[in-house]
Amino acid sequence: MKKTMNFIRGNVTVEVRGRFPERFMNICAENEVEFWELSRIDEEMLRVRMHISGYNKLRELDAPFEISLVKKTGVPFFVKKFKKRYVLIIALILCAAAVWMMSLYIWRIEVKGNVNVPTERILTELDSIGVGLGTKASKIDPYVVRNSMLLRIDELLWMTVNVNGSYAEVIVRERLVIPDIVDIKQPADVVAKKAGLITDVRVLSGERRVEVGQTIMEGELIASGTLTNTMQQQRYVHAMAEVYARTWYTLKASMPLEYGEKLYTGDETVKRSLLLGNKRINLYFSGGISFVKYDKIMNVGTGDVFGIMTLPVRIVTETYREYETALSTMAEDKAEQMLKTSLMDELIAETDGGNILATNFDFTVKDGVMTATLYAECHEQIAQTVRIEQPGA
Amino acid sequence: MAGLPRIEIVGCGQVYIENHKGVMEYGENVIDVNGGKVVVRIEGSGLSLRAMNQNEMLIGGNIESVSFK
Repeated sequence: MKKTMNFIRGNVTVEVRGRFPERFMNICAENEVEFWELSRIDEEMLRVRMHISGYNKLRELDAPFEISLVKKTGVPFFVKKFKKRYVLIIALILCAAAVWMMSLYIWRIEVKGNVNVPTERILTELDSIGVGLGTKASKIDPYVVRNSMLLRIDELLWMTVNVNGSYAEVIVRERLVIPDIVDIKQPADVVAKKAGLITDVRVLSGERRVEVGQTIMEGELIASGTLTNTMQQQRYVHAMAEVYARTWYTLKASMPLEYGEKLYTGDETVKRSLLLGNKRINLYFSGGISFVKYDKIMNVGTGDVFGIMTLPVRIVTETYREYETALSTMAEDKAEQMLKTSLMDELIAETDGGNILATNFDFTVKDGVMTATLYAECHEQIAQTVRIEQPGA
Repeated sequence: MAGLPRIEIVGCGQVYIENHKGVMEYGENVIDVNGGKVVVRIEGSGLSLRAMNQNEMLIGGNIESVSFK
Protein backbone atom coordinates (compact mmCIF):
# COMPACT_ATOMS: atom_id res chain seq x y z
CA MET A 1 0.00 0.00 0.00
CA LYS A 2 2.81 2.36 0.94
CA LYS A 3 4.55 1.63 -2.37
CA THR A 4 1.33 2.34 -4.26
CA MET A 5 0.84 5.62 -2.47
CA ASN A 6 4.44 6.59 -3.18
CA PHE A 7 3.91 5.81 -6.83
CA ILE A 8 0.72 7.84 -7.01
CA ARG A 9 2.35 10.81 -5.27
CA GLY A 10 5.44 10.49 -7.41
CA ASN A 11 9.00 10.06 -6.09
CA VAL A 12 12.56 10.70 -7.20
CA THR A 13 15.88 8.96 -6.77
CA VAL A 14 18.67 11.39 -5.93
CA GLU A 15 22.39 11.20 -5.32
CA VAL A 16 23.75 13.22 -2.46
CA ARG A 17 27.39 14.17 -2.42
CA GLY A 18 28.90 15.55 0.79
CA ARG A 19 31.51 14.81 3.41
CA PHE A 20 29.20 13.86 6.27
CA PRO A 21 26.13 11.94 5.24
CA GLU A 22 24.84 12.15 8.80
CA ARG A 23 24.30 15.85 8.25
CA PHE A 24 22.13 15.15 5.25
CA MET A 25 20.00 12.76 7.27
CA ASN A 26 19.62 15.20 10.15
CA ILE A 27 18.80 18.10 7.81
CA CYS A 28 16.11 15.93 6.25
CA ALA A 29 14.71 15.09 9.69
CA GLU A 30 14.70 18.76 10.77
CA ASN A 31 12.93 19.85 7.57
CA GLU A 32 10.39 17.01 7.61
CA VAL A 33 11.76 15.46 4.44
CA GLU A 34 10.94 11.77 4.37
CA PHE A 35 13.30 9.44 2.55
CA TRP A 36 13.80 5.72 2.10
CA GLU A 37 15.99 3.08 0.39
CA LEU A 38 19.14 4.89 1.40
CA SER A 39 22.29 3.21 0.09
CA ARG A 40 25.88 4.29 0.34
CA ILE A 41 27.71 4.47 -2.99
CA ASP A 42 31.04 5.54 -1.55
CA GLU A 43 32.50 7.56 1.33
CA GLU A 44 30.98 10.81 0.13
CA MET A 45 27.97 9.74 -1.92
CA LEU A 46 24.59 8.41 -0.97
CA ARG A 47 21.66 7.38 -3.12
CA VAL A 48 18.20 7.83 -1.67
CA ARG A 49 14.53 8.05 -2.69
CA MET A 50 12.18 10.75 -1.56
CA HIS A 51 8.97 12.48 -2.50
CA ILE A 52 8.99 15.26 -5.06
CA SER A 53 8.02 17.78 -2.38
CA GLY A 54 10.96 16.71 -0.22
CA TYR A 55 13.37 17.06 -3.13
CA ASN A 56 12.09 20.54 -3.95
CA LYS A 57 12.43 21.54 -0.31
CA LEU A 58 16.05 20.34 -0.14
CA ARG A 59 16.95 22.22 -3.29
CA GLU A 60 15.80 25.46 -1.74
CA LEU A 61 17.92 24.95 1.35
CA ASP A 62 21.43 26.25 1.63
CA ALA A 63 22.79 22.83 2.52
CA PRO A 64 26.42 21.64 2.55
CA PHE A 65 25.88 18.88 0.00
CA GLU A 66 25.07 18.53 -3.66
CA ILE A 67 21.92 16.85 -4.83
CA SER A 68 21.53 15.47 -8.31
CA LEU A 69 18.42 13.90 -9.73
CA VAL A 70 18.89 10.36 -11.03
CA LYS A 71 15.41 9.05 -11.71
CA LYS A 72 11.79 10.16 -11.63
CA THR A 73 9.01 7.67 -10.94
CA GLY A 74 5.28 8.00 -10.43
CA VAL A 75 1.98 9.23 -11.77
CA PRO A 76 2.77 13.00 -11.81
CA PHE A 77 5.64 12.44 -14.26
CA PHE A 78 3.50 10.16 -16.40
CA VAL A 79 0.75 12.76 -16.59
CA LYS A 80 3.25 15.54 -17.37
CA LYS A 81 4.33 13.69 -20.52
CA PHE A 82 0.83 14.02 -21.88
CA LYS A 83 0.39 17.70 -21.06
CA LYS A 84 1.39 18.67 -24.57
CA ARG A 85 -0.36 15.76 -26.28
CA TYR A 86 -3.85 17.21 -26.29
CA VAL A 87 -5.14 15.04 -29.08
CA LEU A 88 -4.23 11.87 -27.20
CA ILE A 89 -5.91 13.09 -24.03
CA ILE A 90 -9.02 14.08 -25.96
CA ALA A 91 -9.03 10.73 -27.75
CA LEU A 92 -8.74 8.88 -24.43
CA ILE A 93 -11.61 10.87 -22.99
CA LEU A 94 -13.72 10.25 -26.11
CA CYS A 95 -12.94 6.53 -25.97
CA ALA A 96 -13.95 6.35 -22.34
CA ALA A 97 -17.13 8.27 -23.14
CA ALA A 98 -17.89 5.97 -26.08
CA VAL A 99 -17.43 2.87 -23.93
CA TRP A 100 -19.66 4.33 -21.25
CA MET A 101 -22.32 5.25 -23.79
CA MET A 102 -22.20 1.85 -25.46
CA SER A 103 -22.67 0.21 -22.08
CA LEU A 104 -26.06 1.89 -21.79
CA TYR A 105 -27.42 -0.17 -24.70
CA ILE A 106 -28.17 -3.85 -25.16
CA TRP A 107 -25.65 -5.63 -27.38
CA ARG A 108 -26.34 -9.27 -26.56
CA ILE A 109 -29.62 -11.09 -26.07
CA GLU A 110 -29.82 -14.72 -25.02
CA VAL A 111 -33.03 -16.74 -24.93
CA LYS A 112 -33.27 -19.58 -22.44
CA GLY A 113 -35.92 -22.12 -21.57
CA ASN A 114 -37.54 -22.51 -24.99
CA VAL A 115 -38.02 -26.03 -26.30
CA ASN A 116 -40.61 -25.93 -29.10
CA VAL A 117 -40.82 -22.21 -29.80
CA PRO A 118 -37.85 -21.24 -32.00
CA THR A 119 -35.41 -18.68 -30.62
CA GLU A 120 -35.65 -16.72 -33.86
CA ARG A 121 -39.40 -16.27 -33.41
CA ILE A 122 -38.97 -15.00 -29.87
CA LEU A 123 -36.24 -12.58 -30.98
CA THR A 124 -38.35 -11.37 -33.91
CA GLU A 125 -41.33 -10.68 -31.67
CA LEU A 126 -39.10 -8.95 -29.13
CA ASP A 127 -37.72 -6.79 -31.93
CA SER A 128 -41.23 -5.83 -32.99
CA ILE A 129 -41.96 -4.46 -29.53
CA GLY A 130 -38.71 -2.53 -29.46
CA VAL A 131 -36.47 -4.93 -27.56
CA GLY A 132 -33.44 -5.84 -29.63
CA LEU A 133 -29.78 -5.11 -30.21
CA GLY A 134 -29.17 -1.42 -29.75
CA THR A 135 -32.12 -0.86 -27.43
CA LYS A 136 -31.43 1.35 -24.45
CA ALA A 137 -31.25 -0.88 -21.40
CA SER A 138 -33.14 1.56 -19.18
CA LYS A 139 -36.12 1.50 -21.56
CA ILE A 140 -36.78 -2.21 -21.07
CA ASP A 141 -39.57 -2.81 -18.57
CA PRO A 142 -39.76 -6.56 -17.84
CA TYR A 143 -43.46 -6.38 -16.93
CA VAL A 144 -44.46 -4.59 -20.12
CA VAL A 145 -42.31 -6.93 -22.23
CA ARG A 146 -43.79 -10.00 -20.57
CA ASN A 147 -47.37 -8.87 -21.04
CA SER A 148 -46.78 -7.99 -24.71
CA MET A 149 -44.94 -11.21 -25.53
CA LEU A 150 -47.45 -13.54 -23.86
CA LEU A 151 -50.14 -12.00 -26.04
CA ARG A 152 -48.04 -12.42 -29.17
CA ILE A 153 -46.84 -15.99 -28.63
CA ASP A 154 -49.61 -18.26 -27.35
CA GLU A 155 -47.22 -21.13 -26.69
CA LEU A 156 -45.53 -19.17 -23.91
CA LEU A 157 -46.81 -19.51 -20.38
CA TRP A 158 -44.42 -17.09 -18.69
CA MET A 159 -41.37 -15.03 -19.51
CA THR A 160 -39.05 -12.42 -18.03
CA VAL A 161 -36.16 -10.25 -19.19
CA ASN A 162 -33.13 -9.77 -16.93
CA VAL A 163 -30.92 -6.89 -17.99
CA ASN A 164 -27.33 -6.91 -16.79
CA GLY A 165 -25.30 -4.09 -18.33
CA SER A 166 -25.32 -4.70 -22.08
CA TYR A 167 -26.61 -8.26 -21.78
CA ALA A 168 -30.28 -9.17 -21.76
CA GLU A 169 -31.30 -12.63 -20.64
CA VAL A 170 -34.75 -13.70 -21.80
CA ILE A 171 -36.15 -16.64 -19.88
CA VAL A 172 -39.33 -18.30 -21.11
CA ARG A 173 -41.54 -21.16 -20.04
CA GLU A 174 -43.77 -22.84 -22.58
CA ARG A 175 -47.28 -24.08 -22.07
CA LEU A 176 -47.72 -27.80 -21.70
CA VAL A 177 -49.64 -29.24 -24.63
CA ILE A 178 -52.73 -30.86 -23.19
CA PRO A 179 -54.24 -33.56 -25.37
CA ASP A 180 -57.82 -33.09 -26.50
CA ILE A 181 -60.15 -34.43 -23.90
CA VAL A 182 -63.11 -36.30 -25.28
CA ASP A 183 -66.35 -35.20 -23.68
CA ILE A 184 -68.05 -38.53 -23.23
CA LYS A 185 -71.19 -36.88 -21.98
CA GLN A 186 -71.74 -35.24 -25.35
CA PRO A 187 -73.97 -37.47 -27.54
CA ALA A 188 -72.25 -38.38 -30.77
CA ASP A 189 -72.36 -40.75 -33.73
CA VAL A 190 -69.41 -42.33 -35.51
CA VAL A 191 -69.46 -41.93 -39.29
CA ALA A 192 -67.08 -42.76 -42.16
CA LYS A 193 -64.84 -39.89 -43.21
CA LYS A 194 -64.02 -41.67 -46.47
CA ALA A 195 -65.47 -44.35 -48.67
CA GLY A 196 -63.92 -47.80 -48.46
CA LEU A 197 -64.18 -51.53 -47.93
CA ILE A 198 -64.31 -52.33 -44.21
CA THR A 199 -61.65 -54.74 -42.99
CA ASP A 200 -61.88 -54.30 -39.22
CA VAL A 201 -64.51 -52.81 -36.85
CA ARG A 202 -64.11 -52.13 -33.13
CA VAL A 203 -67.13 -50.46 -31.51
CA LEU A 204 -66.44 -49.30 -27.95
CA SER A 205 -69.82 -47.68 -27.30
CA GLY A 206 -73.00 -47.02 -29.26
CA GLU A 207 -74.99 -49.25 -31.60
CA ARG A 208 -72.95 -50.94 -34.34
CA ARG A 209 -74.33 -50.47 -37.86
CA VAL A 210 -71.63 -51.98 -40.13
CA GLU A 211 -69.92 -55.30 -40.63
CA VAL A 212 -66.52 -56.42 -41.92
CA GLY A 213 -66.52 -56.80 -45.67
CA GLN A 214 -69.17 -54.14 -46.14
CA THR A 215 -68.62 -51.24 -48.52
CA ILE A 216 -69.23 -47.90 -46.89
CA MET A 217 -69.60 -44.42 -48.38
CA GLU A 218 -68.38 -41.15 -46.94
CA GLY A 219 -70.68 -39.92 -44.17
CA GLU A 220 -72.40 -43.25 -43.61
CA LEU A 221 -73.17 -44.26 -40.03
CA ILE A 222 -70.76 -46.73 -38.42
CA ALA A 223 -71.91 -46.61 -34.80
CA SER A 224 -75.04 -44.78 -33.60
CA GLY A 225 -75.18 -42.74 -30.41
CA THR A 226 -78.98 -42.97 -30.31
CA LEU A 227 -80.12 -46.06 -28.44
CA THR A 228 -83.76 -47.15 -28.54
CA ASN A 229 -85.09 -49.68 -26.03
CA THR A 230 -87.95 -52.10 -26.44
CA MET A 231 -90.39 -49.47 -25.24
CA GLN A 232 -89.24 -47.16 -28.06
CA GLN A 233 -87.60 -44.81 -25.59
CA GLN A 234 -84.47 -43.16 -26.79
CA ARG A 235 -81.37 -42.30 -24.93
CA TYR A 236 -78.21 -40.74 -26.23
CA VAL A 237 -74.63 -41.83 -25.72
CA HIS A 238 -71.21 -40.77 -26.98
CA ALA A 239 -70.51 -43.48 -29.58
CA MET A 240 -66.87 -44.51 -30.00
CA ALA A 241 -65.44 -46.83 -32.67
CA GLU A 242 -62.38 -47.59 -34.77
CA VAL A 243 -62.91 -48.76 -38.31
CA TYR A 244 -60.21 -49.81 -40.73
CA ALA A 245 -60.92 -50.01 -44.43
CA ARG A 246 -59.26 -50.31 -47.77
CA THR A 247 -59.51 -47.04 -49.65
CA TRP A 248 -58.68 -45.97 -53.18
CA TYR A 249 -57.33 -42.69 -54.40
CA THR A 250 -56.97 -41.07 -57.78
CA LEU A 251 -54.76 -38.01 -57.67
CA LYS A 252 -53.61 -35.80 -60.54
CA ALA A 253 -50.86 -33.25 -60.98
CA SER A 254 -49.51 -31.36 -64.00
CA MET A 255 -46.49 -29.30 -64.90
CA PRO A 256 -45.27 -27.64 -68.08
CA LEU A 257 -42.14 -29.14 -69.65
CA GLU A 258 -40.95 -25.79 -70.92
CA TYR A 259 -39.67 -23.41 -68.29
CA GLY A 260 -37.56 -20.33 -67.93
CA GLU A 261 -34.12 -21.36 -66.73
CA LYS A 262 -31.84 -19.00 -64.90
CA LEU A 263 -28.44 -18.71 -66.55
CA TYR A 264 -25.96 -16.73 -64.49
CA THR A 265 -23.82 -14.42 -66.59
CA GLY A 266 -20.96 -14.41 -64.05
CA ASP A 267 -21.30 -10.70 -63.32
CA GLU A 268 -21.94 -9.78 -59.72
CA THR A 269 -21.83 -6.76 -57.45
CA VAL A 270 -21.01 -6.91 -53.74
CA LYS A 271 -22.18 -4.24 -51.32
CA ARG A 272 -21.27 -4.15 -47.66
CA SER A 273 -22.69 -2.31 -44.68
CA LEU A 274 -22.23 -2.20 -40.94
CA LEU A 275 -25.09 -3.07 -38.62
CA LEU A 276 -24.75 -1.36 -35.25
CA GLY A 277 -27.71 -2.67 -33.31
CA ASN A 278 -30.59 -1.65 -35.58
CA LYS A 279 -28.68 1.20 -37.23
CA ARG A 280 -27.29 0.46 -40.67
CA ILE A 281 -24.27 2.27 -42.08
CA ASN A 282 -23.72 1.69 -45.79
CA LEU A 283 -20.12 1.24 -46.86
CA TYR A 284 -20.89 1.99 -50.50
CA PHE A 285 -21.83 5.12 -52.38
CA SER A 286 -24.14 4.03 -55.13
CA GLY A 287 -27.31 2.23 -54.02
CA GLY A 288 -28.50 1.27 -57.53
CA ILE A 289 -27.96 -2.02 -59.35
CA SER A 290 -27.18 -1.95 -63.05
CA PHE A 291 -28.47 -5.49 -63.72
CA VAL A 292 -31.92 -6.02 -65.18
CA LYS A 293 -32.44 -9.43 -63.61
CA TYR A 294 -30.49 -10.54 -60.59
CA ASP A 295 -30.54 -12.64 -57.45
CA LYS A 296 -29.80 -10.94 -54.16
CA ILE A 297 -27.96 -12.98 -51.54
CA MET A 298 -27.66 -11.39 -48.11
CA ASN A 299 -25.20 -12.63 -45.54
CA VAL A 300 -25.19 -11.15 -42.02
CA GLY A 301 -22.10 -11.84 -39.92
CA THR A 302 -22.67 -12.97 -36.34
CA GLY A 303 -20.21 -10.59 -34.69
CA ASP A 304 -18.71 -13.50 -32.77
CA VAL A 305 -15.03 -13.20 -31.88
CA PHE A 306 -13.62 -16.75 -31.70
CA GLY A 307 -16.73 -17.74 -29.79
CA ILE A 308 -15.54 -15.82 -26.74
CA MET A 309 -17.60 -12.67 -27.07
CA THR A 310 -20.09 -11.08 -29.43
CA LEU A 311 -19.38 -7.63 -30.81
CA PRO A 312 -22.32 -5.26 -31.24
CA VAL A 313 -21.21 -4.63 -34.83
CA ARG A 314 -22.10 -7.00 -37.66
CA ILE A 315 -21.10 -6.85 -41.28
CA VAL A 316 -23.86 -7.29 -43.85
CA THR A 317 -22.74 -8.51 -47.28
CA GLU A 318 -25.21 -8.26 -50.17
CA THR A 319 -24.24 -10.04 -53.36
CA TYR A 320 -26.16 -9.27 -56.55
CA ARG A 321 -25.75 -11.95 -59.26
CA GLU A 322 -26.95 -11.15 -62.75
CA TYR A 323 -28.81 -13.82 -64.70
CA GLU A 324 -30.67 -14.23 -67.95
CA THR A 325 -33.67 -16.42 -68.48
CA ALA A 326 -33.64 -18.87 -71.31
CA LEU A 327 -36.41 -21.12 -72.39
CA SER A 328 -35.53 -24.71 -71.64
CA THR A 329 -37.31 -28.01 -71.97
CA MET A 330 -37.19 -30.32 -69.00
CA ALA A 331 -36.35 -33.93 -69.63
CA GLU A 332 -39.44 -36.11 -69.35
CA ASP A 333 -37.98 -38.49 -66.80
CA LYS A 334 -37.07 -35.58 -64.57
CA ALA A 335 -40.58 -34.17 -64.86
CA GLU A 336 -42.05 -37.58 -64.09
CA GLN A 337 -39.92 -37.85 -60.98
CA MET A 338 -40.99 -34.43 -59.75
CA LEU A 339 -44.67 -35.20 -60.34
CA LYS A 340 -44.34 -38.58 -58.63
CA THR A 341 -42.81 -36.99 -55.55
CA SER A 342 -45.51 -34.35 -55.41
CA LEU A 343 -48.34 -36.88 -55.74
CA MET A 344 -46.84 -39.22 -53.15
CA ASP A 345 -46.54 -36.34 -50.65
CA GLU A 346 -50.16 -35.48 -51.27
CA LEU A 347 -51.22 -39.10 -50.82
CA ILE A 348 -49.34 -39.44 -47.52
CA ALA A 349 -51.05 -36.31 -46.24
CA GLU A 350 -54.47 -37.65 -47.30
CA THR A 351 -54.07 -41.04 -45.62
CA ASP A 352 -52.81 -39.44 -42.42
CA GLY A 353 -50.84 -42.33 -41.00
CA GLY A 354 -52.46 -45.10 -43.04
CA ASN A 355 -50.58 -47.73 -45.03
CA ILE A 356 -50.10 -47.40 -48.76
CA LEU A 357 -50.63 -50.86 -50.23
CA ALA A 358 -50.16 -50.22 -53.96
CA THR A 359 -49.52 -47.33 -56.34
CA ASN A 360 -49.67 -46.95 -60.08
CA PHE A 361 -48.65 -43.89 -62.10
CA ASP A 362 -49.84 -42.85 -65.50
CA PHE A 363 -48.12 -40.02 -67.46
CA THR A 364 -49.40 -38.14 -70.47
CA VAL A 365 -47.94 -35.19 -72.35
CA LYS A 366 -50.19 -32.79 -74.25
CA ASP A 367 -49.37 -29.32 -75.57
CA GLY A 368 -46.08 -29.25 -73.68
CA VAL A 369 -47.73 -30.09 -70.35
CA MET A 370 -47.12 -33.36 -68.56
CA THR A 371 -49.96 -34.74 -66.46
CA ALA A 372 -49.43 -37.51 -63.93
CA THR A 373 -52.25 -39.58 -62.45
CA LEU A 374 -51.72 -41.65 -59.33
CA TYR A 375 -53.95 -44.62 -58.57
CA ALA A 376 -53.37 -45.82 -55.05
CA GLU A 377 -54.83 -48.42 -52.73
CA CYS A 378 -54.45 -47.77 -49.02
CA HIS A 379 -55.46 -49.20 -45.67
CA GLU A 380 -56.44 -46.67 -43.04
CA GLN A 381 -58.67 -45.75 -40.13
CA ILE A 382 -61.81 -44.03 -41.47
CA ALA A 383 -64.03 -43.46 -38.42
CA GLN A 384 -64.77 -39.96 -37.19
CA THR A 385 -66.99 -38.67 -34.38
CA VAL A 386 -69.94 -36.35 -35.15
CA ARG A 387 -72.03 -34.61 -32.49
CA ILE A 388 -75.68 -35.41 -32.22
CA GLU A 389 -78.00 -32.45 -31.82
CA GLN A 390 -80.61 -33.76 -29.41
CA PRO A 391 -84.21 -32.86 -30.20
CA GLY A 392 -85.49 -30.33 -27.69
CA ALA A 393 -81.95 -29.78 -26.32
CA MET B 1 8.50 8.46 28.79
CA ALA B 2 9.06 11.94 27.41
CA GLY B 3 12.41 12.69 25.89
CA LEU B 4 13.42 9.03 25.50
CA PRO B 5 13.53 7.07 22.24
CA ARG B 6 11.37 4.00 21.72
CA ILE B 7 13.22 1.09 20.16
CA GLU B 8 11.72 -2.00 18.51
CA ILE B 9 14.00 -4.79 17.39
CA VAL B 10 12.71 -7.42 14.98
CA GLY B 11 14.97 -10.46 15.02
CA CYS B 12 18.48 -9.47 14.14
CA GLY B 13 17.59 -7.74 10.90
CA GLN B 14 15.63 -4.62 11.73
CA VAL B 15 15.56 -1.87 14.31
CA TYR B 16 12.84 0.73 14.49
CA ILE B 17 13.54 3.86 16.51
CA GLU B 18 10.87 6.39 17.40
CA ASN B 19 11.42 9.84 18.90
CA HIS B 20 14.98 10.25 17.69
CA LYS B 21 16.94 13.48 17.52
CA GLY B 22 19.11 12.73 14.48
CA VAL B 23 21.97 10.55 13.31
CA MET B 24 25.34 11.08 14.83
CA GLU B 25 27.36 8.53 12.96
CA TYR B 26 26.48 6.52 9.90
CA GLY B 27 28.46 3.62 8.57
CA GLU B 28 28.13 0.07 7.37
CA ASN B 29 29.15 -1.41 10.70
CA VAL B 30 28.07 1.26 13.17
CA ILE B 31 25.14 3.66 13.31
CA ASP B 32 24.80 6.04 16.27
CA VAL B 33 21.40 7.61 16.78
CA ASN B 34 20.84 10.61 19.05
CA GLY B 35 18.02 9.68 21.38
CA GLY B 36 18.06 12.89 23.37
CA LYS B 37 19.14 11.77 26.86
CA VAL B 38 20.83 8.67 25.47
CA VAL B 39 22.75 7.65 22.34
CA VAL B 40 21.71 4.40 20.74
CA ARG B 41 24.52 2.50 19.05
CA ILE B 42 23.66 -0.20 16.55
CA GLU B 43 26.52 -2.46 15.55
CA GLY B 44 26.60 -5.12 12.90
CA SER B 45 27.35 -5.52 9.22
CA GLY B 46 25.68 -4.25 6.07
CA LEU B 47 23.75 -1.68 8.09
CA SER B 48 21.61 0.81 6.16
CA LEU B 49 18.98 3.41 6.89
CA ARG B 50 15.89 2.07 5.19
CA ALA B 51 13.59 4.99 5.92
CA MET B 52 13.59 8.10 8.04
CA ASN B 53 11.46 11.09 8.80
CA GLN B 54 11.42 13.73 11.49
CA ASN B 55 10.38 11.37 14.25
CA GLU B 56 11.03 7.77 13.19
CA MET B 57 13.70 5.76 11.47
CA LEU B 58 14.13 2.20 10.31
CA ILE B 59 17.57 0.57 10.23
CA GLY B 60 18.18 -2.74 8.52
CA GLY B 61 21.06 -5.15 8.02
CA ASN B 62 22.81 -7.84 10.12
CA ILE B 63 22.47 -6.45 13.63
CA GLU B 64 24.89 -7.81 16.21
CA SER B 65 24.23 -5.47 19.11
CA VAL B 66 22.16 -2.55 20.26
CA SER B 67 23.77 -0.62 23.09
CA PHE B 68 23.35 2.66 24.93
CA LYS B 69 25.88 5.37 25.77
